[in-house]
Amino acid sequence: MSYYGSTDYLENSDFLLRMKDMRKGNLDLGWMKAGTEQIEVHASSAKRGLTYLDLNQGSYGYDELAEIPRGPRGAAPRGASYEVDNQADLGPDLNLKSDVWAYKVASFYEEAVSRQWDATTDVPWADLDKYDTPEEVEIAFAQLCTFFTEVEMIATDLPAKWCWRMNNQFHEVKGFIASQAIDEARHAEVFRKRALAGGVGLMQALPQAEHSLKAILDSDTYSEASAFMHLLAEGNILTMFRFSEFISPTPVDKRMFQLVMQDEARHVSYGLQHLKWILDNTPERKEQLHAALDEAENFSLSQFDSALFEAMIVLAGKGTSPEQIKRGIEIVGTLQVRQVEEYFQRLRRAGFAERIEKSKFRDLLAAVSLNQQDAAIAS
Amino acid sequence: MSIAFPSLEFFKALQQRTKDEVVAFEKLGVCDTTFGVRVGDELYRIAFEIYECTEVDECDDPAPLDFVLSAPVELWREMFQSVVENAGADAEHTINSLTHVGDIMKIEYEDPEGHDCFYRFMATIQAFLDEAKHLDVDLS
Repeated sequence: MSYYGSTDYLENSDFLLRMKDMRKGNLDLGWMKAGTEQIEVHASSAKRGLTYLDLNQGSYGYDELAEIPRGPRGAAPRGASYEVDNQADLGPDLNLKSDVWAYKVASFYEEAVSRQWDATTDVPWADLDKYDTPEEVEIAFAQLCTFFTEVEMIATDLPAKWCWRMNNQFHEVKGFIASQAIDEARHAEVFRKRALAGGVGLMQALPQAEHSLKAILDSDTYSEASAFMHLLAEGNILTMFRFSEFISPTPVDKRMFQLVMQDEARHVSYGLQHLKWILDNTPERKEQLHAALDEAENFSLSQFDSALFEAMIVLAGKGTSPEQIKRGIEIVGTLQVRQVEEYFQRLRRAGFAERIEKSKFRDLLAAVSLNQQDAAIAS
Repeated sequence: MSIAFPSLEFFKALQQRTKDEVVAFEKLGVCDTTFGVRVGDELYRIAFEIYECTEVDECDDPAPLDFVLSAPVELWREMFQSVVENAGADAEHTINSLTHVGDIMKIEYEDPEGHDCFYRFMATIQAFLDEAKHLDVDLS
């Protein structure tokens, strides 16, 4: 216990007298005149139900929330009355709207809540036994699942790390990243289950991945963490999920990747919209984001030389014969180009096209002889 | 009487399936996207709102669409053949697999936000196309 009350209530005579008075029926009832706004709220669609978007009105809404909301720093919900002098200061670090906000964040939250799924029952695990997968392919798949499990565990920690640091005025964002934390926990669950259910079990934890994940977790600001994780890392993982669905050895795995892909795409969309919000509202932070992405891209490059990529080559080629490896390299090369291409597209959409000229990925693609595809990216 | 593919009638029959299978589509969650299916030269507009497909029609302008799945008619026939034979697309014929490598089926889009809708609602879109398994469809 580190936060102690300023009063020992059982030793406080005023408090005890007031309690006795209340028990006699002498209520104050001053709280009934809070003076807060009363609005008419209706679900815009009965089928969809009452959403945060329907509540976006007046002092309860988010459109009128200022860049610096000079309200409470405790747990007073937006729109409630509060006494600044008497409320607990929870010491939130993120108090500017542009620190956390994203276009469409309320919609992303509603979508996240609606599209939840269950890793225990929504993947047809019992069907896994129906398919005979070559041993080396199953081993490679287990390595891929091991990597994804590592990634998703940290992706669970990251939103949890920042959620409580956000001012409670931004509850739509807090709700969204809380939903992200449960999404990522479910992803770690489903990949762990898949690795074990296939009979191989977990394979090697990858140092490159862990250093990269530590860099995400240790980002100095939430926006740096978001640019690294939501936009860059999850963008890359989204493309890897697409690839993994493509090369999945069984329909069971296809189903798993279709489901995780949806969640990941939502997180990437939030990241894009947060970056866009920052650039539209606080463009002076561009240089800070460039510096963060310089290092984020550097860490991401390390993924291109690891057991992970060898596993992906084996999976794509469906084996380890020279012909299969050659085919696997071709497919994985396409994946690498696509990861970079989609990252660049998102940067452009967020209004951060200038980042592309500085990106380390251009040099990477040239270094691994993917020049032909690189030309397509440049256009 | 079988429904010819490709035709507006075919896509309207798929639309009706999202209303007939309301529990299954509600389980997948809200899906708010309007996308295109280009079969050869024909472009069909498919609108999803909340849990179901709300509109299907032919259109000329892909600009307002989040994304367009585009392939020659032969490939669409092959895909729906797989759906009918396997009670859902087999491993080689999911829309993700067809669009992922080699541009067998293309995803056309102007806006990466629209493109991301393809991923965000992947399971619903796949379920929508898989509903062809319940149709008496003429793929000849």
